[in-house]
Amino acid sequence: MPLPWIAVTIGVAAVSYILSDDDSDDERARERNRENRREAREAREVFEAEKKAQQVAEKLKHAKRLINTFFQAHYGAAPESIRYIDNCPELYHHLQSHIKNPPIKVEQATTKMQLEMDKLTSINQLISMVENLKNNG
Amino acid sequence: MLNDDGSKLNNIKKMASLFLNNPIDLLNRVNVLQKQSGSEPLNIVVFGKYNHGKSSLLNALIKQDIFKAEDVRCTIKTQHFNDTEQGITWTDTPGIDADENDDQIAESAIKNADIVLFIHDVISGELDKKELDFMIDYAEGIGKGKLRVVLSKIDQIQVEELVTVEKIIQEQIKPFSNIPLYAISSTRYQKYIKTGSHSFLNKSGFKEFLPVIDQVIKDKEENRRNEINSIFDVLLKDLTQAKIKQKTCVAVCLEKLNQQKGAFELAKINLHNHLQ
Repeated sequence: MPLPWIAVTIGVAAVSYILSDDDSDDERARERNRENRREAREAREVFEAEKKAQQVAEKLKHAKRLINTFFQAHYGAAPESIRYIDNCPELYHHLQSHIKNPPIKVEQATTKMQLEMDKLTSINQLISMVENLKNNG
Repeated sequence: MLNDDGSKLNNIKKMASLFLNNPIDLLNRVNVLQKQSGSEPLNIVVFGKYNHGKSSLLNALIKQDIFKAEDVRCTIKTQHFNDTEQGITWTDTPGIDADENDDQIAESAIKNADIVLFIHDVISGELDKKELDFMIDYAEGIGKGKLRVVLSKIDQIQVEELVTVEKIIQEQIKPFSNIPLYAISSTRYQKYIKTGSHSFLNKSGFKEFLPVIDQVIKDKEENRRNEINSIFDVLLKDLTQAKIKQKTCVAVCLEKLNQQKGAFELAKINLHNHLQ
């Protein structure tokens, strides 16, 4: 083979080698980019999830504090079971079932009212007893 | 029937004590009256301030000097004389307004009286506060229908003066339901007993007063029945007042209960709002 042809072949080979090397670098770079974006998305998702979990926990804590104050004011103390509840829906359900019971002050006022009503009934009975005795005497 | 009534009375006694100040004396009196037979002597009690002539009136009525009558406070405990012939127990009481203990003894004696002769001497003029307070308590309470006001010692003032005092006292007792008033002189009546002089009898007021006692003896049974009814009326009046008071109490309690319920409902709404 004449020398110039050899040189041309070597040159073409070198250029195609160089060109093929550039293609694989691009591919790797793209791959890295994809990887980075996925990692960033995952990190963002974890962060979002953690943030949401923290918000839920804060909301639960706040709700528990309010409910505790409410129970202390109206029932003397909050039910022990509330402490172990770890989600708001269950907490609200618990609250709904407990507030069906009358609070202390309403219960006391009802008892007092009943007592006074009983006294009134006794007085009415006495009046009719005395009237009977008077009329039959 | 009597036993049945007795047990009803006991039930009423127990219950009424919870709502009334002192129903026991009243109900005990009903018990006594219901158990009394027709032969039970009539209990006539004289009552009034000391040295107003209570004992003298009794001595004149029984025509004997049984009860000690002096110008000083001499009756310090209740004394009785049983006149079996007339079927009367005459009871003399210590004068009121002299000593607190005497007042209690006298007031206790009239609890079982069929008739109370309330003695007031005309020399003292009109009835004083103590006497009027007694009337308010007794004549409008358990003594309703049992009280007779007797103005004593009319021999010691002029007729014109007597008329004036009588008028004033009539006005004073007018607010109380139908209390008869008599004016007498025991001294003149006792003189009549001793001398037989009708002039003393005519001026003693006993001519008008003695038939009253006869009538009381005659009406004994009816009066006792009336007294039972009067006691029941007093109890019913007191119970009606207690009922009104209790109704107010119930209304106050109901209002408080509604307030508590309202406050709780509001707190529930606030809690729900905060939770949302």
